[in-house]
Amino acid sequence: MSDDMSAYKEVFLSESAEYIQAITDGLLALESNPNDLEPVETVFRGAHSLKGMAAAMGYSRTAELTHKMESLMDTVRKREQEADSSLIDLVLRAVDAAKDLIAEESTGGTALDVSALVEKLVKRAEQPHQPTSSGEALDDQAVVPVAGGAVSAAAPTGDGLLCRVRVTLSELCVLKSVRAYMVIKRLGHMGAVIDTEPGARQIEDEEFDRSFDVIMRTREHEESIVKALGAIGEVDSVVVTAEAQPVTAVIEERRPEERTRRAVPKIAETQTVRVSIGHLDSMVNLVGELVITRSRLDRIARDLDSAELIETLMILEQVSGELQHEVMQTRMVPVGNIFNRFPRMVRDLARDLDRQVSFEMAGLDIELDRTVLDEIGDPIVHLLRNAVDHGLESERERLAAGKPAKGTVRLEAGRDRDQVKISVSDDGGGMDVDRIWRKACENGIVEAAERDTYTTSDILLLTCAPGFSTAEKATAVSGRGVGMDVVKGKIEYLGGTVTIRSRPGKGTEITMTLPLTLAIIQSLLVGSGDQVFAIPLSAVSEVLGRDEVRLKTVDGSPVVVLRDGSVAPLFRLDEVIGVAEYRKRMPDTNDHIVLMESGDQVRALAVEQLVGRHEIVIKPLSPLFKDLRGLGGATVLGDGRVALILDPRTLFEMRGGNREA
Amino acid sequence: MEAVSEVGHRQFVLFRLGTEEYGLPIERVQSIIRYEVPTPVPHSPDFVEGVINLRGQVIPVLDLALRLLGTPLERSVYSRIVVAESDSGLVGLAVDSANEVATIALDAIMEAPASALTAETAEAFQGVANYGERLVILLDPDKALPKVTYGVAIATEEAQGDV
Repeated sequence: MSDDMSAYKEVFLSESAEYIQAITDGLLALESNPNDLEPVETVFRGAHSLKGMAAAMGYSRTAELTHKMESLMDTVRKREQEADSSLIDLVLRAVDAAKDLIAEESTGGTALDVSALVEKLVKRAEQPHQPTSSGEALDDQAVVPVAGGAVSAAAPTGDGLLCRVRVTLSELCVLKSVRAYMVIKRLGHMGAVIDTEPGARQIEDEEFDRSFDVIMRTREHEESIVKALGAIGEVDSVVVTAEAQPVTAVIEERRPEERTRRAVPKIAETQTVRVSIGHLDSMVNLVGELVITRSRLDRIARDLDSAELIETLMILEQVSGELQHEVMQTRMVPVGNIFNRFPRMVRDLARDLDRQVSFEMAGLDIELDRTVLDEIGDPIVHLLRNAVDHGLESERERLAAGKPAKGTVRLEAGRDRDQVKISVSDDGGGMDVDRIWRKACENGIVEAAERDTYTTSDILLLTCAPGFSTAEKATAVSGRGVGMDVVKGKIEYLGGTVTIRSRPGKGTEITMTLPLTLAIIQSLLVGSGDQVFAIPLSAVSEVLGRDEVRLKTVDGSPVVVLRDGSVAPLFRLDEVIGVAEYRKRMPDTNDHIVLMESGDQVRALAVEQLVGRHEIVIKPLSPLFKDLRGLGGATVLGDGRVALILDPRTLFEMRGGNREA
Repeated sequence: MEAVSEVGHRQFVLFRLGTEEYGLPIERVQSIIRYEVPTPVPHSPDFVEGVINLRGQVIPVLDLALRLLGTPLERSVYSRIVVAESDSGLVGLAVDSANEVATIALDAIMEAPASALTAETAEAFQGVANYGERLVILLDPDKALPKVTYGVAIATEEAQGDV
C-alpha cells in the first residue's frame, strides 16, 4: 500500500472507531429510552457515514454490512418499527462485526463471513416485530424512568439483581458524608450503584439522619455485602432487600461495561464545531472560579441562615455542577488522536533498525483530559523507541530462541475506574534484573548490600532513576534506561505512576497510570495548626478516631494494626510537613487517623483536625516548587485562602525535610 | 533593551527593602498588591514565604529582602507584594513599600560600585541610578528572581543560598 493510502487508512481507522463508538453509545441511549429519536438519528447517520468511508476505501464487506444497518435504522427512524431489545441486540452485533471487518479488511484479510448477519439485518428491516404494547402509540408506552438524581450517571442497567441496601451509621459518626462516600465507593466495587436515597447531593451535605439507602445491581450475596460494609467503621447496621425489577427489563448483556453509558453522542462529521484550545482553557478556568465563588456563597448563606438563599444556592450548585461536568467533557479527547501517528513512527524506526515489527494498538477510543494527553505523547514515543530498539531482540536471536522472526510491540490504553492505563509492551528478551542491579550499584544509585530490600519491580524501576544510564554509552541493558527518568518524571508530574513488568525471554510491559482528568476533584480537608490541607478523596480509604485503632510500635516507628491483622505505617501530618520535628511520635489523643491507599500500600496519617469533604479545583503550583515532593498542587478555599493538596503518592517521601533527590 | 523610548528613558517600578530603594523594569511587573500572609509551603527554601491566591491563580511569594540582603522582611501596613513575571511564571515579591513608577534616563544608570556587592547577589544588580536626590538600585529580573530549568528547581537555588 502506498504511503498516501496508508495515511488515509489511519484517518479512516481513527474515524471509524469514533463512529463505531458513537453508534454503540447511541444504541445504548436508545435502549434506556426507546422513545428518544435523537439516538436513532445518531446511529443512522453513523452507519451512513461508515458506509461511505468504507466504500471509499474499497472495503466492500464493511460497506455492505453498514449499508444494511443504515436501512434497518431507517425503518426505526420512520417509526415503521420499534427499537426493542432484540433489534438493538442485532444492530450491536452488526457493530461488533463491522469493527472486526474493518480491522480485517484494513490489513487485507478476507476470512470473515458476515453474510448471515447481513441477511438478518435485511429480514428485520422488511419484517418489523410488532410493538409489544399492542396498538398503542410509541409515545404512550410505559417506560420506568431511571431514578433521578446525580447518581443516575451510573449504570441504569447492569448485571445481577436489583437490591436496596439500607445503611445505618453509628450515632457517634463524625463525618457522615465521608462514611457514606466510603460505603458507596465500596458498593461500587461490588456492582453497579444506580441511585441513592436521599440523593447524592443531600448525602454529600449530610442531609440525612443516620440511615441512607443505596439502590444497586449486584451479583454478590447479601452476606458478602453486609460483611464488606461491616468492615467500614461506624456502620451500625446493613439491611439488604430485593427491589422490584423495573419494566424496562434487562436483556441478556453481552458487553455490560459498554451498556452502562448513557450520553447521546454526537457524530463528529455533522454535529461538532471546532473551538480553539484557548477558549476551552479559559472556560475551564472560569468554571473553576464559579465553583469557588459558589462555595464562598455557601458559607455566607450558612452564616446568614437564610432559607431562601440556601435554596437558591442549591439550584445554582446543581446547575454549576452540570456545567462543570459538561465543560470537563469537552476537554476529553480520545487517545487515538495522538496514537494515530505511532504506527508510521514504529514502521520507520523498524525499517531504520532493520527489524521486523508488528505494531498493535488497542483502546484508541479511551478518552483522556486534553492537558494530560498533550503531555504523554513524548513519553509514549520514548517507550515505543525503547521497545523497538532495545526491547526486541535481533531477528537471529529471536529465531534462536524459537520465537517468530517478527517481534510484536503493543500500545494499549484502558480505563480503570477514574484512571487510564497506557501500556507499551513487547515480546522481546525482557530485562535482566541482575544486570540492572549491578549497573545501579556501579552508578552509586543503590548499595549492593541492600539487595534484599528491593523487589524485582523496584529493581526494574531503577532504570528510571536519574543517572542510571547515559545516551553515550547505551548498551542493550542501559539503553533501556535512556530518558526513562524523564518519562517517569513527566508521568509523576501529571499525578500518575509508572510500573514495569518484565519476564526473561518473554518480554517487557511498561504501564503508565494516569488520572482521567486533572482539574476538579473530591477531597478531604484536614487541618494542622491553622493550616488546611486537601487530600484527594480517591486516596482515602477510611477515617478513624484515635481510639478506634490499635497502635503498635515496630522498630521504633508507630504503626496501625488493620482489621485483617496487617499493619500500616503511621505518620503524623505535622511531622510530615515539617511543622514539628520528625521524631515518629504517636498520634495525640484527639487526632484522627486517615488511612490512605496508594498503589498497593496502605499508610496511616494522623491529623489534628478533620475539616470535611469538599470539591476542589486544582491549581498548579509554580514550577519553582517542581522538586518538592508530597504536594499535588494547590486550591483556593471558600474563604479565599490557599490550601495545599497533598499528593498521596509522594507525601511520605517528604517527611523530615528529607528530599535530597 | 526593550521599552526604550526615543529619548533614551526607561521606566522602573520603585520599592523599598529596608533603607534601600530598588527598581524593577516596569514591563516585568504585572501588578502591586497589598501584603497578605501567604500559606507556607512545607520544606521550601527560607526565602519562599509561601503561596497566595492572586485572582484564582496560586503564585509563590518570595522574601526579596531575605534573598538579597540576608535579613527577613519586617511586615507593616505599608508592605506590598510586587507581582512580577519571571522565567518560572508569576512570582510575588514581598517588599517594604511600593508605590512609584520612575522614568530614568539611560545615561543616569551607572555600574553598581563593587564595594556594595556581595558575591551571591552581584549578578542580580544591574546598576544604580540617580533619581532626583535618591539613589535607586536597579535589579535585573532574570537574575534576581529564581529560575527553573527542567529538573533543577528550587532545591539547587537553596543549596546555593546556603553556601
